[in-house]
Amino acid sequence: MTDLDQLVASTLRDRAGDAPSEVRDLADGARALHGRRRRRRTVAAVTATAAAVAAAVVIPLSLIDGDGAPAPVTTPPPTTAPTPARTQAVAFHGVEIDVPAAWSINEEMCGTPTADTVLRDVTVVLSCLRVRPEGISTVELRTGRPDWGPRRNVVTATNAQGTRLEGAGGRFYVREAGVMVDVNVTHPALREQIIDSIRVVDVDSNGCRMHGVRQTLPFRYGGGIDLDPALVPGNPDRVAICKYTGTWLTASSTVTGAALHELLRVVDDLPDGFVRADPEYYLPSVCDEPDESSRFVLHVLDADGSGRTLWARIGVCGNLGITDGQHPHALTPELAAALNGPLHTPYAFQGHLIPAR
Amino acid sequence: VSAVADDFDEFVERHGPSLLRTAYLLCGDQHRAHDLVQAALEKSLRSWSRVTSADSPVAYVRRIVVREQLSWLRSRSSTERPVADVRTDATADATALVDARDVVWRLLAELPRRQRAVLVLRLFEDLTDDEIAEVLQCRPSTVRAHASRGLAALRAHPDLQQRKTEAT
Repeated sequence: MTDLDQLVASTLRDRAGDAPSEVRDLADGARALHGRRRRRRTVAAVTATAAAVAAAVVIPLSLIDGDGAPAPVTTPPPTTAPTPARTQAVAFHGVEIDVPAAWSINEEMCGTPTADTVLRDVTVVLSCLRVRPEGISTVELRTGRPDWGPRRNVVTATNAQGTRLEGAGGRFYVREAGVMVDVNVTHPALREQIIDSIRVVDVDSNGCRMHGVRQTLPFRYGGGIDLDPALVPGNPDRVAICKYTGTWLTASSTVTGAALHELLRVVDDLPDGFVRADPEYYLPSVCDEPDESSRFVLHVLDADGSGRTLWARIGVCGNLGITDGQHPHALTPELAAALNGPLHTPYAFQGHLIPAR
Repeated sequence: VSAVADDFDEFVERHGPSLLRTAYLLCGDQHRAHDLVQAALEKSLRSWSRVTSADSPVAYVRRIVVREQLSWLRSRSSTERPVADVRTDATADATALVDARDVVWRLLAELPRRQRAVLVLRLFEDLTDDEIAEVLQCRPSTVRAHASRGLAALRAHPDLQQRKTEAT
């Protein structure tokens, strides 16, 4: 085997880890396809006609009721509710939606929302039996395939943004991105507005790439001490924080004003050089698994649009900290808080940190 | 019918992940990989007895996955985007080193479908050229030609040449 053969082979083995692993619905899906094909053979002409008609019909999502059956046209949803004058875009895993600007992000206690909010990737929560307050609205974004099994009661429709959605009621699956969107909104008009805003994008409104950021590079060469402490020179106008798990964007935000100054203050105070988790305090075998470290890309922008990029990593494995590719700085609790705070995302890292070699 | 269903479910449970891995490496897209395997399973289901009587049922279905991928690309325009965007930002330092595996993955996406399939089957599935030829329904010499051209395309790419230069 040549060096190139080995490189290709190791690349394939590495990328095979990104392959889908959920086989639960494969057999059912194959059977469903099989059933449809058999029926198609039996009544080919009729089916062809029906398919032609169906292809031309876009089912308005507003006509789908809770169990997926079309609702009577005679009971349109009320339209008198105020629609938000200002909205904010919220991105997750290839999908972006618009919600009222007044909504918070991940405003929850033990997984139970406590206000109008977007729950973004709240996958592991401790239940403390809190009761969901009446009248609040939420949108939950999470990865994973739908658990509704065979497609009974599930409708595929195209929304105003041209995004194909599978689902019913307020639960939709964006197949292209592998994301479930659970729209649990009290007012029908706002609900439809949010559903219509669901879109698949490559770059979100904060300028964060949705996918393809592996970002191993700047962290491979850490530990050097540089005499220039200014990771962010000058007075930037804003910083877009893009947070990734694996290669997918899981949260993003643009910080300005006081939040920006706090972030820069923390970055300026960081010790030089990356750090690593002390191997005496964790099982190194955890790093044999796919790296679940949180990775950040920070787009630091001046008022004229020019700027620079920083990368940060928070987790257990490998070099940890923040860098512009030349000047590594250490992960500290303050840095972890400053990066995750604006995103309203939880974080964890090993508490015993030692200088990276 | 029930026995076939159980047999089929057990097969999918046991071999589904490996088929998904192969499909993903062939097409580079998670959802399409899922669809490819599902379509291959559906075709297998049409003549399940033929699958189960094959020397290696999983090899039989994997062959359908590969052929499905090749025919899929013939009948549809590929939506796979070469990973030219693996770099985190357009403003990143041009002199920055590129992760070699990212480069290879991007280049694999740019290869003709048969060259990519040959490399996946040879270097990931460890199939012999004769076995690959049987999957692709071509001669072993054609397999070797595909492999040679695919590797040559990778080798000639400036990013990998630069890495080689830096390594020496």
